Amino acid sequence: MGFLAERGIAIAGCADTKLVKGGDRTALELAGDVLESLLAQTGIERDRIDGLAATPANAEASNPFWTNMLADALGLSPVWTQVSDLGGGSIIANIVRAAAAIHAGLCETVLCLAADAPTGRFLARQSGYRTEFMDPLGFSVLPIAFGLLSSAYAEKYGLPERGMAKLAVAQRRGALLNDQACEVLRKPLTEEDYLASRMISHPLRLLDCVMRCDGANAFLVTSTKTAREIGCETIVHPIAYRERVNFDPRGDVGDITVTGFSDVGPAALRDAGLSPGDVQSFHPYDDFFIAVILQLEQIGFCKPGEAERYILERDIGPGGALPINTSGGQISAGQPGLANGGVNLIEAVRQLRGEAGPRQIPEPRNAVVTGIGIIQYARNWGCSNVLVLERG
Amino acid sequence: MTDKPPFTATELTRPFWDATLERRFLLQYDPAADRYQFYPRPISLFTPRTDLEWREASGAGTLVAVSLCHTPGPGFGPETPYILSIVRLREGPRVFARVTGAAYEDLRVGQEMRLVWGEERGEGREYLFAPAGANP
Amino acid sequence: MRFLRNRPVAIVGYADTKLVRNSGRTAAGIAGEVVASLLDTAGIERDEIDGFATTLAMSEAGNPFWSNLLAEHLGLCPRWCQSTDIGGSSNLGNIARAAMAIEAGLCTTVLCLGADAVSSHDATDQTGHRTEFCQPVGYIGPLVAFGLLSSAYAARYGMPDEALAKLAVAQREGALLNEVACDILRKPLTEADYLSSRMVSHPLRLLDCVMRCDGGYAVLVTTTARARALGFDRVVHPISYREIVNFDPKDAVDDITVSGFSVVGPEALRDAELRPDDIDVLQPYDDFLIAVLLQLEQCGFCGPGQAQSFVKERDLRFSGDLPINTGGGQVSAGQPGLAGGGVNLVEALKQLFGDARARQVRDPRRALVTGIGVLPYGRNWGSSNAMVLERA
Repeated sequence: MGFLAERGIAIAGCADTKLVKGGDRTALELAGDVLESLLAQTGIERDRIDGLAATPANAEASNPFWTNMLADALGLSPVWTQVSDLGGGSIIANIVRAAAAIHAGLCETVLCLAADAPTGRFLARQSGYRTEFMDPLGFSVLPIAFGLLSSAYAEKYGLPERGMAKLAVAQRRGALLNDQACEVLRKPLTEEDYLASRMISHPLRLLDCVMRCDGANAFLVTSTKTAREIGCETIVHPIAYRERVNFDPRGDVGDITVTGFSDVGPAALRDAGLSPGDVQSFHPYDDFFIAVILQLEQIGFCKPGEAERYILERDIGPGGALPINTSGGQISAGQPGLANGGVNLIEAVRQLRGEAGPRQIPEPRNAVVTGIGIIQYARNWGCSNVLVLERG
Repeated sequence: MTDKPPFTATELTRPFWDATLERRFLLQYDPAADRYQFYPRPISLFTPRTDLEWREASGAGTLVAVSLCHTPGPGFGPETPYILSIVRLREGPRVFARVTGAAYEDLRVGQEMRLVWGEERGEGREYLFAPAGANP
Repeated sequence: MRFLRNRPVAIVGYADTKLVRNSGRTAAGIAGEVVASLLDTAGIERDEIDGFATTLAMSEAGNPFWSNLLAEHLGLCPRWCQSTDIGGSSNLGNIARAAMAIEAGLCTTVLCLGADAVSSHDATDQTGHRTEFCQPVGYIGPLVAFGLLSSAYAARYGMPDEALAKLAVAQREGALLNEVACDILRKPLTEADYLSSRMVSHPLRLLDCVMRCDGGYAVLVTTTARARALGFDRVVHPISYREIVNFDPKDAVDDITVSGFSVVGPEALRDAELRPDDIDVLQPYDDFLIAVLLQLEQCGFCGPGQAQSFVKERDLRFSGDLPINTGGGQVSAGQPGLAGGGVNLVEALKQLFGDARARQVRDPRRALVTGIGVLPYGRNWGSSNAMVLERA
């Protein structure tokens, strides 16, 4: 991905919809809404969009031709069409696939769009090891996988309850300042509330978990040249990216708390020429707080087992030393199905564009965004990816 | 009778599920690499072989992770909360299954476990883990 | 994808499985067989593979994490992991995406896979216009769409029965010489048989249509430099590629027989600096035979309405002056669901690698392969793509 370092690719705009639980709009309607916003914000003609990168939608998952249907419904005629099926890693993966397609000359201006309405209709059906070797043995909900993972971490280092409580409160403060967050989540929260929340899959608590909702997000990715030409004033460059799927395929590592981030995290920062101390805002994928703990350690912000102390020693709010998930993250804003990772990414882009309103970080130059996707069999997660962004 | 999801075999996994009916837990074994794998896969993880052997596991292993689940899946309601685990078998692979014969509070990651058998359901029989010393 | 002209990317190996109707297998099982076969014939270590691109599988539709699931089943640990959902265009699309990812430095060596067991299990459930506006008014499947399309062509130019019959016979002769074709299709066929086969959606005949089956394909793509370093003496280069989804989104072309090939066909040839006459082997996507005639016209082999006279003047067999779908195509070999485009792609590779044995075209240098995907509302098809392959 050396070409990203040349700053030749730009995120020229972003848009999202309000996150809603139990909304009445379909994924297609949400896609239309978010495209309208993006076109209005960027002022770009729809016909200039010649690439489309989408994610699957839980609400439409049984349809294997979803991106084509999106193109048809949205009136797009792309010469490069992409679906990323990396779960929560898909949104940042799409930014980089768009960049690569532009770099390779397949297209020039890409709409990266994710829309899902899983609270109204859920057509996704797992297959393979999940339906054969997990569900019939009592695997009911995703928190189980993270409860198990938490127990393995706790055995080595102790359960980082105080660190996660501080994260929970800091992210909730962000959601209170984020009008796009789910209203049901926009209620003040204390560390005591977090610690007193009921166990879902011991030692995992209710307030460790995301809540599913409906929503959409969209990003316009083009060459830096075209971004300037269409009058984009604040350009955000993707400058480094790493992805790893099925880390440790043969089980050689022997520790299920060691994830793909131990590989892609340090590598992405190195590619960007940054050390962890240089990172000015961090937007880790947060399906469960324990995942944020593991990422802090494995990307290299601190050593294994030290994430709790690292968090407790720092201000992780917008004015702090390492602002984390400043808009609430998914845990306090909501997880819009397979449009999920967009919650973390759009906040990073907004912070760099100076559009974060009351939660704005003072003049951040860079941001690190991550993605996590797919529950593996008796391990951790399938996809780990890291994107480094820089204000142009 | 149970409302729990039945075990279902595919062309690839039928030897495994058939053996569970006889209370045998089979692993795929790649003789070229002298390594085992679980769940059954269409190809060895270690070499490009597809003609893997089925070998019976000892049933002994170590507790890698444990969680007390308060959110039951279909049919598991009456047994809630129930204990779920990841156990690394002596042969190498990790296995996901419920735990029986122990209270959650008494389980410790790292302790020795052994495989025990549960009810027959659909095309297979449930396998669980119990502490190595416990009576089933 | 102008960079392809410099031949920086090479296809170094391929594998396929026997096509079988109602095999009772799973897509993952088929994938394991074909990947093992590829690793064996290419003599490459699995860990050398750091990129993975797959098609979706109709037998696993609804699983939004298919590429990850396959990676875990197959023991792959990719740095770039991709599924492509442009229907029958996906196999070919993945070769281009692999080239793109390699060019961008995301990975070096990519496994492109297509595996589907749709004739044993179909888990798809269409959504959107298909379920809302087509099926309730009598749409029973793709054959309706192609019957309608044929009628529009016939109204303009007459029904090209003779050309279709000749094509049906030529492709069937290929299947008779192709041991991996579905055995139930490997029976001799005459033009009279074709013409007397029953109407399934008038004017579309039974022998115009593909039959679903189970099967898989694997293709290995790497840099030309890496191919040399690994000692591959035979390689095939993709030298041009074009794709379009949702051609004519605003209905500016008032003729439903004009497809995306009117754009991508001529462009792919121009990018390769070739004329139609320079193509030694043609492997057009053939879900229905009428689609092949439309492609001949729109890619520029002949003018609109001239396919009938063009085909009558040519010998379409492997030994002829314009060999078409020499392994039987999908119509005579079978359509393994969303791996279907692999039938056309891998036959092109067999011809260019000189592996086509009894049906080997004499010393072919260049092949044109195409893909078609997805049925949109009231038009032709959603995805059209074309690639020129050249033997080094």
